[in-house]
Amino acid sequence: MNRDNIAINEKIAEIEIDKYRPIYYAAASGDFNPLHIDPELAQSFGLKRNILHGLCTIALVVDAVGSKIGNPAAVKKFKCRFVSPVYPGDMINISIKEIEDSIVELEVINQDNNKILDKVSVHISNTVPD
Amino acid sequence: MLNPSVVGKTYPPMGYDVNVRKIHEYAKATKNPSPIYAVPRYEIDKLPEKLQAPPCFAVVAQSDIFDYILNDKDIGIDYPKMLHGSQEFEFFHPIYSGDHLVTVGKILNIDDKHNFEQLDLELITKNQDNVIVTRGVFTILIRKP
Repeated sequence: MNRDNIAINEKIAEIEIDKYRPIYYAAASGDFNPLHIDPELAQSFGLKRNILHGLCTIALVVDAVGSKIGNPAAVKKFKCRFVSPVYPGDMINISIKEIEDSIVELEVINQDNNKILDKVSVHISNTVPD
Repeated sequence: MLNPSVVGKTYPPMGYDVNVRKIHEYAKATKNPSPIYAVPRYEIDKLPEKLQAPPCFAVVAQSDIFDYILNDKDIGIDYPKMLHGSQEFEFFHPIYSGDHLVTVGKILNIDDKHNFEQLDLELITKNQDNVIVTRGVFTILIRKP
């Protein structure tokens, strides 16, 4: 693991959410809530269209950090609040905001600079189990 | 309305057997950047027998008990009004193909806020060696009318 790989204000990932991503994630996770896969039903609940699973967004962020520091198993803890939905077609931008000891605070925004997640923190460790 | 008397309620363990194919499917679905998972499905047998899963993979093992709990009539969740408010994960130990995972659940808290009710649900997943691999706290919000 190399925490020297990360720097404050650095963008660590830019991830396009393609049209089929919620369907892929539903199949992989078993979460077939229609809000994620049915655009018309999602609109009936006041959304623009179907939305990506929040847990998929988290996986994208955790994996981006794990990849950046060079060892996914060094990610020990993750916290966030969901503030805006992610739609197919969106671009997710993940940047480092603060680094204090083992805690990395992140900014996760979409292509319009709207926050997707708030209070995003990741704890990383130098000791990784086998 | 959520039933506050369910705070502290626990749910019996549910098991899940991890395999290479599921890890690969999950890694692809979450656009995992690691080259380990980059092989196409038709070359899946080239992956190591003991394949490490991405950190959040435990959600796959937790999905059955998560659904079971959310459908517990004792809690009283109005499903269409449900939102995922916030999330915490602790990753204690990697998950590998071949692992047998067992997840238990517990209602940690129910809170009545101004515009919504809040439910905090804890899911703890252990492997076949009784080692905790992942702890998740799912904060679910139920919009009020």
